[in-house]
Amino acid sequence: MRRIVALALLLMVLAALPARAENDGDCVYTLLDRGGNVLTMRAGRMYAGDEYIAADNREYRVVAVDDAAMTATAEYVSDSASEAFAAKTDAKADGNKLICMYSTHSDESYVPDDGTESKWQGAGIYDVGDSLKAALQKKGIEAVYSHETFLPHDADAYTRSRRTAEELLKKGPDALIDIHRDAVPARQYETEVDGEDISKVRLFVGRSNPNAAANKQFARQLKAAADEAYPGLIKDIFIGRGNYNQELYANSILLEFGTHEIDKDKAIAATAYMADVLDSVLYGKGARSRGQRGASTQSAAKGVGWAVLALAAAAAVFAFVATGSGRGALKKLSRHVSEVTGGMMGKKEKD
Amino acid sequence: MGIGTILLLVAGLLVLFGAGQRVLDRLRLTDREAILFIVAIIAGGFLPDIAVTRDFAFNIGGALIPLILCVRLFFKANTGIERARAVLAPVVTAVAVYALGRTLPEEPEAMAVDPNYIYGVAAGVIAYLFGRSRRCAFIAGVLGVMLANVATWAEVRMTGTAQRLVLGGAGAYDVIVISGLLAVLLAELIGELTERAARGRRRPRAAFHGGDFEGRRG
Repeated sequence: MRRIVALALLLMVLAALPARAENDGDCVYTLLDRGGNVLTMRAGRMYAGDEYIAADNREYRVVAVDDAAMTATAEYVSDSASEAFAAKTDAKADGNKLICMYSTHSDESYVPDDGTESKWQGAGIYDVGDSLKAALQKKGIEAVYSHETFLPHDADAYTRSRRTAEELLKKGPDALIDIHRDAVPARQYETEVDGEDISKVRLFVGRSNPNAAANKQFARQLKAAADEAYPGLIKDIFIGRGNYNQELYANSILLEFGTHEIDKDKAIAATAYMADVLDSVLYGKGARSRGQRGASTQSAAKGVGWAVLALAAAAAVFAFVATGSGRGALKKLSRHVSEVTGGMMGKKEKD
Repeated sequence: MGIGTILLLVAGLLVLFGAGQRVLDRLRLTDREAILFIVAIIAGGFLPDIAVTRDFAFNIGGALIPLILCVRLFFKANTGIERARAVLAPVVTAVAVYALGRTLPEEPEAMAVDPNYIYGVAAGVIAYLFGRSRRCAFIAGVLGVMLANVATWAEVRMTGTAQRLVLGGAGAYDVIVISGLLAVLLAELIGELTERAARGRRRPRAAFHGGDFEGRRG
C-alpha cells in the first residue's frame, strides 16, 4: 500500500508541474559532415542512425551526436540515384484523385505575420494548408484538409492526430500529408524558384515504423519530381526516429513549409509548386510505373517481415525469461502458438 | 489504397491481435469470446463515430468495445478489494498518462518509447503494483488513457478552444486499444520475471487460473 501511495504522490507532483514548454528555436541541432562542414539544421535532437538526403541527393547517416554543442556528425553513404525515382509513366488508372491533409501541430505559426510562433486559435499553419488545398483543387484534385486541432503541442499530439489520420484514410486517399513548419533560422529555408522568393519544403520521414521504406520511397519520388521541375523547392529529406503515424499509410509524408521566422507568404507561395509536384508524382507523368508499384509492395512486405520478426523475437525472449532454458522456452512457445492458432500450429499441452 | 498498405494493415492487425488473443485469454474469456471481441474491435473501428455532443464522440471499435470489456471484467472480479483496485488503478494511470504527456519531450524522435506504447507500459507497471492482476492491467490501460484524454480535452476547452475529441477514433490502432493490450502483456512479463526470480530453476508452485496466479506471490 505504501508503494502505491508513494507512486500516487509522485504522479500528482509530476502532473502539477508546468507543462514542458520548449520555445521554437530553443533546440536546434546542426548536422555536420566528417570535415566539419554544415549540412543542415533541424529543430529537435538528432540521433545516431538518422538519415539525411541533401538537396544534391548525397545521402548521409548520423554516426555521432554531441548534445553539449547541439551538433551531429554524419558520414557520407552514397549518392541516391535521383533518376531512379524520377518521372516514369502511367497516370492513375481511375479518375478519382484525392489527397488528404491535416496538421498535427495545430498551433504552429509564422512570427513575421502571425505575431507569434504558437497560436491556439487561427494558427498560421492552416493558411498554408488551405493554400495547398486550393492549389490542388485548381488542378482537379479533390483535397480534404482537416481543420481539427490536436492541442496542446505536447508528447500526445501525434496520438491525438492519429484519430484524424485514420478517419481521413477511410476516404481512400492517394496521399496523406501532415503539414508543419520547421523552427530553424529563416535563412535555412529561403530560396528562389522561377524568379519568385519562396520557402523551401522539407520532407520528413519517421524511420521507426514498419512502413518506413515505403514512406521513404514516396519522399524520394516527390523530391525527384521537384528537382526536375522546380530545382531548389525541396530543401532535403530527413529520416529521423519516431513514426509520426506514417505506419498507417505508404504514401504518408510530413511536409515542413518554412520556419517560424520566415514570411508566411513565402510558405504559401511554395504550396502552388508543391501541388504541381504532388500532381505529377501521383497522377501525372511522374506517377508510379508498374515496376515502382511493385517496389512499394516490396517495401510494405519488408515492413510486414520486420513486424512479424519483432513479435517472434519478443515471444522468444519472454519464453526464455519465463522458463530459464532453451528447451523450456521452445515448449512454451509451441504451446502458445497452439493457443493462438486454435491448435492449427504448435503443440497442444496434454491435460 | 495500395496493396502494400492493405498488406501492412492486415499484418499489423494480425500481429497486434495474435498477441491480443493471448491477452484476452488472460482476461477469463473463452476462445470464442476473445475472437468475438477482436472482430468487434476491428470491425467497429470502421464504423462511423458516435457523436455525443458536437465536440465529443467515440469510436465503437476503439472505445466502446474496450469499455464494454472493462465493465465485464469489473463485474467478474471475485472480491471487493479487486474491484477497488479496478477503480483506483485507472485513476492513478490517468494521472500518470497526463503527467507523462506534460513532461515528455514534444517530438516523437526524442522519446525512448513511442507515445503509442508508453501509456500501456505505465498502465502495466501501475496495475502490477496494485496486485499483479492482468484484468486490472487491462482496465487501467483502457480507462486510464480515456480519462487522461478527457482531462486534456477539458483543459483545452476551458481556454475557449473548440477542440473535438473522438475517443478511440483510430479504431484498432488507437492508443486506447494498444495501451490495454500492452498493459496486460507487460503485467504478464513482470509476473513471469518475478516468479522466475523467486523460484529459480524449480518448477512453478503457483498456477495460473482465471486471469490471476494462484498460490505463492512473487
